[in-house]
Amino acid sequence: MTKTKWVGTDVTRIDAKDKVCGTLEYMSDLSFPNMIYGAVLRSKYPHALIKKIDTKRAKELDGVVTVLTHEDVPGLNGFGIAIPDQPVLCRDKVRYMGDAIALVGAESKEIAEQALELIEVEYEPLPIVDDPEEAMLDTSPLVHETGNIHNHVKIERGDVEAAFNEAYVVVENTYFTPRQMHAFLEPESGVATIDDDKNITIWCGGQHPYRDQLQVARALGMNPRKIRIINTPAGGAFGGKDEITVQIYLALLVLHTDRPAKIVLSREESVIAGMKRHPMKIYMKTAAAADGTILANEVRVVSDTGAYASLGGPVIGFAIEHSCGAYRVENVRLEGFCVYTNNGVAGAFRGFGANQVTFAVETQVDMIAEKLGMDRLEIRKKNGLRKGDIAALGHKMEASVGLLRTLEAAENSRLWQLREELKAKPGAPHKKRGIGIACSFQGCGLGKGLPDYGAATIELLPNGQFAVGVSCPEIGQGNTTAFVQIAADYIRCSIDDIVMLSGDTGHTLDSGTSTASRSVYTGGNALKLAAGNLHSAISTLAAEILSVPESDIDIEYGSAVSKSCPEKTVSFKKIAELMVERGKTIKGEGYFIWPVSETELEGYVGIPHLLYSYITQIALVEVNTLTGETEVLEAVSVPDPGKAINPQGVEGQSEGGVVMGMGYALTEDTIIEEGITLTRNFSTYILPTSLDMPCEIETIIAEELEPSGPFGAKGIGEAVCVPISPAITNAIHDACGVWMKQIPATPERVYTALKSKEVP
Amino acid sequence: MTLGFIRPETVYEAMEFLSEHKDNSRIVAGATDVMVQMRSAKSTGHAEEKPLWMVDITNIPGLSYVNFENGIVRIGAMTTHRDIARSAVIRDVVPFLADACRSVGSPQIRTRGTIGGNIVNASPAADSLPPLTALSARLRLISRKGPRDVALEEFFKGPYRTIIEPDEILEEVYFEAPESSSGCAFLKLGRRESLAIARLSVAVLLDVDESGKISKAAIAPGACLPMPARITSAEEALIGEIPNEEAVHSASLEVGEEMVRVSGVRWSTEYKKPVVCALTKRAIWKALGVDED
Repeated sequence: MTKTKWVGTDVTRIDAKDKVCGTLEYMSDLSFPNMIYGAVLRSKYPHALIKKIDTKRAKELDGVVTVLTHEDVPGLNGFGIAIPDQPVLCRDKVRYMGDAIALVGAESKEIAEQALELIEVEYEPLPIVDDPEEAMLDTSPLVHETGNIHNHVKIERGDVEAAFNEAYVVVENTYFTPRQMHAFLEPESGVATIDDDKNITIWCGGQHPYRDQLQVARALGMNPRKIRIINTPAGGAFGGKDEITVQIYLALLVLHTDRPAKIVLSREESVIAGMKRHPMKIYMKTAAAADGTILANEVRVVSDTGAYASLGGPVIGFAIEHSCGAYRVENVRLEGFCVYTNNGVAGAFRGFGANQVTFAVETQVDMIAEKLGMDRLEIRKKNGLRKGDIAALGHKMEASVGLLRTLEAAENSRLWQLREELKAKPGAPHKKRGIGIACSFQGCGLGKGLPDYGAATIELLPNGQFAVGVSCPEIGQGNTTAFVQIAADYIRCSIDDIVMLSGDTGHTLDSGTSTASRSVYTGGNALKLAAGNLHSAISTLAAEILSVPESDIDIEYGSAVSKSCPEKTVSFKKIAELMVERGKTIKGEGYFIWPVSETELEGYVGIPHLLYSYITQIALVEVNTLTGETEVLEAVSVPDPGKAINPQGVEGQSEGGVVMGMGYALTEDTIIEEGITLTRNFSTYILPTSLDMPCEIETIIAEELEPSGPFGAKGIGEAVCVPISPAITNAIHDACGVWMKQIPATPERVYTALKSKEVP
Repeated sequence: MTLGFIRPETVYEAMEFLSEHKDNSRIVAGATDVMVQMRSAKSTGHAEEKPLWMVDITNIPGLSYVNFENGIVRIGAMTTHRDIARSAVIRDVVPFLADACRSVGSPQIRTRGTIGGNIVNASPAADSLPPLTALSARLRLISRKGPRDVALEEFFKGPYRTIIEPDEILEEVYFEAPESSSGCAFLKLGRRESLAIARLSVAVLLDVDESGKISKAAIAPGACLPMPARITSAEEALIGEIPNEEAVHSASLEVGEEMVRVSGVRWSTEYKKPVVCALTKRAIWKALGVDED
C-alpha cells in the first residue's frame, strides 16, 4: 500500500471551526434581496379525493405574490427516486397527511402561512388503510390503483424443510420495529434564485445534487443544464434528504415569480411530510445444529412504505439480503413485501433495511446460543462470514471480510473481558445489569444492477493550490475532510493546499449520492484516477521546465523531481506560475465505476452487494425492575471500515451511530394512528439527549483493508448504528431474562415482559 | 389568526390591559407551554380564528423573588425554575421543590419557564405541583378588583383548567416552611433523562416525632391524577407508625388505588399502577433518609 502523509491521521475536520463557532451558513441561513417566502398547503386527510381547489381568497390577500397548484407544474407532476409516484402538487387525490396541494409565495413567512388558511379545498374522504398486512388483502382500499404491494422479493436456496427436520434447535418468533425519524437538526429547507435567462440556482441540503437536478428539471420540463443544485452543507440528512424535499417547490416559486424564494419547514411539518424508517413486521424461523452451526433461516418481512414508493422497493430487497445476518446459511426461504398504506412516507434511512432484520436475526442467534448453552461470541465466530464464503443469497464474499477481526477485537475489549465483574455491581437492589453483543454487515454501494459510478476533478490553481471537486454532499459525516486527505496523498501535496468543492452541480462532476456508505469509496477512487491524470499534465510541464524527458519525472510531496538527476526539482507553485504564463490549464478528471458481484438474482436490482463493511457492538445496560427503564451504561463499537481515512472521523460516526441505534432500541417511534401523526415534535418523539448517552463509548477500529478501495477504505456511515440495537435488547435479556421482540423496548414493554415472566 | 404582543412594564399596566381585553388575551409567563400549544394547534388545524393578545408579564419587575420570613416562604410567580432550583432558601427549607424545578425540561426551558406559568398552565404532569401540593401552598391572585388568596388544591378545575379569571394575574405562591426535623422527596419518571415530561411523579413530605413515629405526612403524586391532590388515605397509613416496610407498602398501594379510582382504568394503568406504587415507596423511604438510588 502507498505510503501516506494524511490518510490515517486525525486531520481536523475542514468545517470544524465554522461549525463550532456557529459561523457556517446552512441553506436556511441564506437570504437574497427581494426574496419571497414559500409555504406548502398539506392535506387535511390521510386519504381523500380532491373535488375542488379554490385559491382565489388566498391570492387576494395583501402580500401574497403567487399561489400555485398542480396546474402550475409545467413538466411531470411527480417525483420519486425509484418511480415518480408522488405528486409535486396533488390534483385529484391525497394519500397521506403530508401530501402537498398548493404552494404560496408571499412577502413574509407569516403572510404565506396566513394565505394557506384561505385556500379552500373540497375533499371526499376515502377509507384509509393503516395496517400493511391488511393493505395486502384484496378487500383493502387501494392507495394506488396499481395495487398496494409495491415490491415483492422472494429468494429460496437449499432445502429449508429438510434442515428444520434435522435441526437440533429451532427458534421461531415475530418481531416488530418502529418508524424511526431522521430528526436532522435542520428541517428540510432551502433558497433559490433565477436569472434573466431563466437559469435557476437552488441551495438545499440534499444527498445527490445531480439527481435533484434531474428531478427538478423533469417537474419543470426544463433542460437540466439550466438548473444548478448546491447540496453542501446539509444540517444532517441520514437518508431523509435523499429524496426530493423542497427543491421543486423552490424552483416553481422562482419560475413563476422571477424573484428569489425561501422555504423552511417547521419541525411539525417536517415530521408529518418527511421520510421515516420503514416499520417492519418480521417473522423468523431459524434452525441450528447441536454444535451451533446455523442450518436454515425462514424469513417473512412486511414493510410499511406509506403513501409513496421513494426507496421502499430497494429497502425491502436490502432487508432480505441482510436478513440472515453476517453468517453462512445454506438453506433459506426469504420473502419480503413492501406495501403502500396511508401512514406517512418511508424511505432511505441510515442502515437501509438492515437495522430491522439485524434486530431480529441477532436476537434469534442469542436465543439459539442460550438453548445450546453456547457462548454468545463463540456462536457468532463459528457462523460468521469469512472471505470466500457463500452468503445467504448464494453470492460469494469476494471482497475483504473483516467480521472475525471485529469479533475478536470485541472479545478483547475491556467491557467484554470484565463483563461478569461489571454486571455484579448494579446501582441499586432493584436494578439488574446485563451485557449484550451483536454483529452485522452492511452492503456498500447501490448493489448489483443499479448503475453506480462517480467522478472527481482536480485542478491546479494559479496560486499553486488544488481545487478538488467531488459532488457527494457533506451531510455531517465528514466526507469532505476525508476527500481532502485522500486527494492530498494522491496529489502529494499539503492538505492546506486543497480547496474542497462539494455537492454543487455548478462546480463538480457527478459523483453520485452521499448514501449507501459509498461516498468515500467512490469519491476516493475517482480522486485516485483524477490524480493520475493530473500528474501526467504536471509531468508534461515539469519535463519542459527541467529539460528532462517526461518519463524521467517523478512526483514528490509538493514538487516534481527528475528521477535521474534528483537535484532538478520544480515546486507545484512554480509549475502553477508557468502554467498561467503559458496560458495553460492543468487538470485531471477521474471516472470510477463500481465493481459488482458476479451473482445476478434474476428479477431484482440493488442486490446482492460485492463490498460490505462489518461491525460488532457491545452494550452494558442496567434495567430498573420496578419501572422497566433501561439505561445504557457503556458501549463498545468495533467497526471494520477498511482503511480508516480519518480515525477520529470514524470514532465520531461510531459514537453518533451508537446513540442513534440506542434511540431506535429504547425510545424512538413516530406514532401514526389512522393516518394522523401524533408525535409531531421532540417533546413526544423521544430522541436520546446528552444525558441519556452511555457514559463511555469505546470505539476500536478493526481495519480489514479492501484492495479495491482508496488506500484500502470501504464505507462506515451506516453500519455503526445497526447491531447496537440488538446488542442492547440482548443485554436486557442478559440482565433480567426477557426477550424483547418489539422495539423500542420502552419501560412499559420491559415491565410487561418482566411481569409475564413471573407468571409461569 | 392575528396575534398581538404586549409587554407591560408594571403590574398595574398588565391588569389594566387584561381587564380591557379579557376575552382575547393570554398571559405569557415564559412561553414554554403556550408556544408549544399554539404550534400544536396550528399543525393540527385547530388554531383559534379570533385575534389574540399575548400579554408577556415576565418583564415586570418585582415578580421574581424567593422570600423567607416568619416561617413563610413566598415565591414570586415570575421566578424561573432555574432560580428556584438554585435558591439557597428553597434548597435548604424545601429541597424537594428544588429537585422538582431542576427536573423541568432542559436548561433553556428552566431559564425561561416560571413557577407561575407552571401552576396556571395546570398540566397534570407539571413538575412543581406535587411538592407545592404536599406543602399545602396558597396562591395570591390579583386584578383590578383587588387581590384574593386561594388554596392550591382549590385552584384547579381539571386538566389545564383553573378558577383564575381572565383579568387576573397570579402574583405569588406561598407556604409554611416545614419543621426542620421533616424530610421530603420528589421522584419523577420520564421517558428520558432530560427534556422529559413526567409520566409519573410523586412528592412526599414527612415528619417524625421524638418517639420515632411519623407525625405528619403529605403525599402528592403527579401525572396520574387530573389535577393535583394529596392522597390522605396513603398519609393515614403512615401517621403514627414507626417507619416500617409494611406501612410504607400499604401507603404506596393507596396511591395506586386512588389513581385508578380518580382516573379510571386506561391502557396505561397496567403499567402505571404498580409503578406509581414503586415510585411512592422509594420516595417515602427517601424522605425518611433511606435513598436506594
